Amino acid sequence: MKELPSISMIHDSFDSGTLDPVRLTEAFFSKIKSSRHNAYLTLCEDRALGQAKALTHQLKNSYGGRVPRKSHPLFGIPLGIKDVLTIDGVRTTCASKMLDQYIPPYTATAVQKLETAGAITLGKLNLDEFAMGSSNENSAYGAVLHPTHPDRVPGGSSGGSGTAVAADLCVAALGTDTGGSIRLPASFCGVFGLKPTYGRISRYGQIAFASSLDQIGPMTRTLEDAALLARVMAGPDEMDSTTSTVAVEDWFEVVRQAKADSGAIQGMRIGIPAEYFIDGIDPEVRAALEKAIDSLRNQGAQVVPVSLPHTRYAVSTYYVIAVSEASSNLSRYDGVRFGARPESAMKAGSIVEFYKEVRAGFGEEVKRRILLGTFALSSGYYDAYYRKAAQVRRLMREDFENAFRNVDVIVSPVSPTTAFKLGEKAKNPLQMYLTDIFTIPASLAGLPAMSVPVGKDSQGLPIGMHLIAPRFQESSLLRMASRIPGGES
Amino acid sequence: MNDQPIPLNEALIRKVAELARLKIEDGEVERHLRSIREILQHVDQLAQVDTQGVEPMYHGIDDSLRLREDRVREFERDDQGKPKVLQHAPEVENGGFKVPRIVG
Amino acid sequence: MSLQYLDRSIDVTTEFEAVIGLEVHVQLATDSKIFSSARARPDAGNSVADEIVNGNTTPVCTGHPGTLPVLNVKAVEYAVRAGLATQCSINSRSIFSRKHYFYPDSPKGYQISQFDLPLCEKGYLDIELGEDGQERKRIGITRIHMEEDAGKSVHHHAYSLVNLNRAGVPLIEVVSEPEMRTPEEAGAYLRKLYAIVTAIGVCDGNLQEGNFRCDANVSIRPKGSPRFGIRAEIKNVNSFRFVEKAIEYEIERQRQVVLSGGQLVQETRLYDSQKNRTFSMRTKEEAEDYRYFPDPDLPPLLISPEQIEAIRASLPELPDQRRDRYVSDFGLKRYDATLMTSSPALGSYFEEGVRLAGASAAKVLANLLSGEGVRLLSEAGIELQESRFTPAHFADLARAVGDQTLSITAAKQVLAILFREGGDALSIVDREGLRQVSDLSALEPVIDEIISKNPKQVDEYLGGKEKVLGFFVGQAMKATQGKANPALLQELVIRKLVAKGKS
Repeated sequence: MKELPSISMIHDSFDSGTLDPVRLTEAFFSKIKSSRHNAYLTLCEDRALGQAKALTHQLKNSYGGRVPRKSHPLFGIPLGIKDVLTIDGVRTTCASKMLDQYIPPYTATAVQKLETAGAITLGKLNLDEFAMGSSNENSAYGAVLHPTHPDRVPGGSSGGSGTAVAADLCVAALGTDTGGSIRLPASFCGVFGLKPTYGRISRYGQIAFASSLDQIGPMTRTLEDAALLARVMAGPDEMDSTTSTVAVEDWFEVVRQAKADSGAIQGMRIGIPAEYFIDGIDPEVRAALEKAIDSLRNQGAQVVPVSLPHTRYAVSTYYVIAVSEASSNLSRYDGVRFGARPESAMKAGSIVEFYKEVRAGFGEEVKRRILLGTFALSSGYYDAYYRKAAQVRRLMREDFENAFRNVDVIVSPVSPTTAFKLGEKAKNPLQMYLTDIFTIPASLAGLPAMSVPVGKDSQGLPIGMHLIAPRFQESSLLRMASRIPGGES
Repeated sequence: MNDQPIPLNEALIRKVAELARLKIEDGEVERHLRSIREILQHVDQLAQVDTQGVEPMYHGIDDSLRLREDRVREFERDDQGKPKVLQHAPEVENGGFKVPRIVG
Repeated sequence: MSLQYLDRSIDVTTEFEAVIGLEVHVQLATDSKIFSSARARPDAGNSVADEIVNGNTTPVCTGHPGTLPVLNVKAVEYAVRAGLATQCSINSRSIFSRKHYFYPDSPKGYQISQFDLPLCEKGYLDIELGEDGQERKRIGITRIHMEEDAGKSVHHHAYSLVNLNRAGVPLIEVVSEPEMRTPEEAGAYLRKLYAIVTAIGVCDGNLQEGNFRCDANVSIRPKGSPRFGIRAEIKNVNSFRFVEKAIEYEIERQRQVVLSGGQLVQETRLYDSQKNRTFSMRTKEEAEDYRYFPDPDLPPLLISPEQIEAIRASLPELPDQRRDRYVSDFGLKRYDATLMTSSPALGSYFEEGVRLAGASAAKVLANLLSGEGVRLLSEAGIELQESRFTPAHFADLARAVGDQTLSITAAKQVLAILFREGGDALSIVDREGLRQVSDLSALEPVIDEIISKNPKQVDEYLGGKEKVLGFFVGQAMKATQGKANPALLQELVIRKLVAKGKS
């Protein structure tokens, strides 16, 4: 993969006049239209060109040809937005037939913030339906192909986002992460993916999968771009009661400084959880990780073994909590106020039949999770399933809190393997769920985590390293990531 | 988890589907039953964990609920004064969302 | 062959007792909705029916994908007020839960409510029963919790239209202990609760607009049995009187079923006020499984003791306190005083009336307001503050009655005219020629003349035939075209007759 310019390099080009937002935007649309990745579901050509023209005009006439990087850190930068985030007036499908022609009446706060900072939305990116999946094979509009290996999955659920960034179909993308849906595709596609602490970025406009786990995050070519996007989006929102008021640091600065300082991670302690480095990890993945860890050790970081004893319950815990919340969040899809309503629905003999006709629009995996979730919450099973899982969740969180007494960052593979083949796991839901085994615990505990590219396997498939930090310690993550070689594309 | 095996059978799948207003064709029941059974067998391991006295974690943040001021902020209307939330609604009549007759 | 019911053998002589519990949904009078910033109620003077259909909504209260609830601080304050006013303990930590059910007027497919940890618990209110309210009873309140209202549907032949203006309006649900035993107790409880929530300003109290809605759970059991019978839930009865009648009917219906050996079924019933009977809605085969779980979008609500005390300190006068004040300051009878506190409008008209007419007019004021005033209002089905009545109307009339220039009967007549036309009370008195003659100098000559013209009757009276008094009074009334103050007249006639006897 050739080196793709970062946001600041693009701004340099704007400043020097060798590029402007309109030309950049047009170049992306041209590339997108000739790509076969199926990364995009909806293109916003008119809207994007309108934004680009206005920005180009402002650059010349209001800013004297110099990008106002302080006030508009994303000036003229074309982005792809995962199609689970709403934009007023723009088709948003969640890759589901249920929302095939859904046009939201409002824009997600996070997207609003990016556009206010000058970003341009190229279009909506493909995903697993309602963000439920790990391979982007669950989209109602067809699978997304891996950026470089078309017989492979890009990972999911933010597969469109991962591929788009890696295949140069946008400068950066927004993904969402509930159990690993940013980090896994970032790892498989060889880009950076950051899931911030739960509560950092507003979920208003993020079409809900599992409310206590969902977060929006950037997927980017460079670490500094991820830090920049995250900084622009983070902060409390009056439209979301689960956002945090903890101060947002200048993460862009953290990265810039750490990259310039060879002693940046001196004395930082890296935790290696015994439960994560198990059999079943691909030897090339393991080797790439060990190489990266060695390099960090050589820069003065200490490597400390830690234990997260409840790790083995991660998938079970997650798949009870997430599906339960999902079954609830998806109750609103009833064809009454929005969404697809098949012909058969209005002819239904009763309102119950009406609902069933409408809700037949869900794909198989979504249906499965709704059934599981409804079961886990139902009377007689609630204590044994939902409540029990919520208790184990707290224990998993305490595992991390204990481990973080002795380390600053915890490291693991993102996934036991590199990108698997299309269709390989699609038939077995449980096998598919187990691909998330390393990313899930950080989600359950609400911790910031990211995937950093650390090399490729012998087939040229990217390998990602997973870093986890304590709540609200994104700077530790970013500082460590800044010092990983190959930690820049 | 209770000691008795959960009676995970077709009837339960159908009942759960009914609760969730999902249409399940006869052919599907078996398929869903199988995959759900497999998943639940894995999930059953949660019963091994000693959670005596552990407070369940139901929320992603630790903070308590922030409240909002009691202030009306009208949502947008279009040029004809029609509420924007009605735009793109599947079927609207006299400003109301239209559905088959609700009995009861 | 003996009949079994619960734990007893029963027969036609068995005495049953009713077990009644009430769930009241009170709409809180906030400006915006509980979880969204949409308008919660129409401007003063307008009706919910006048609002543009689906005009008072945002993407949040219409359940659009990606939207989230944010709690209204005023709704919390009002809910705490209601809890304090009913002696509940306020939980410093409470949780919002999702209650799942599919219905077109429920936009998210779940209602945000409170389940295991409600805001308020274990309160009570005191009711008074009987003609003059001498019998007192305390009814427990199990809990008060916050939740959101649902939208409304209009049903046509083949389809229904859903209006979500009401969806998201803040509610408190007040759940009573099943401690009421008669329809009267239920009615008294409702009236008292209504008086409280309107007095403390948390509810606008407009029954037609649905501000205060009651569901009644009714079951019966043999008197003295500790068991609970199968209950029916009666929903959507929109007046206190109808609630009482519905419960009365239901108790007897259940009794008949049991005595005939039939099976009672747990069900929802509606009340038909025309036929005065309850009838079953579609019976569900099994109880709905609401799948309650804590709403992950809403962290726990914490309220500090300081915040609770601040709200307690700001509580306006409660109906019981106001009643006691009316009794001690104005000498009203307790029962009349209670009537004056049954709604804020009545209370404020009363107090304003006293201000205008003086404390000495208080009793008559109360009489006019709660008697003829309320009668006219309920006949027309409107509230005091919607009528043409002003406090001045009542004050003027009460003063006139106090001066003896108007009989109580005439005052009522004038009220009826004021109700229809509005206007000035005293002008109407004159216009209708209703002024009462209490002037001795006017009455005495009239009586003297009648006495002098009817010596026979005088002798009869003096001879002991007391009934003849009516003759004199009647004659005098005729002579004054019915305008003489009857009490005064009678007194005068007796005095003059006695004097005559002595002469």
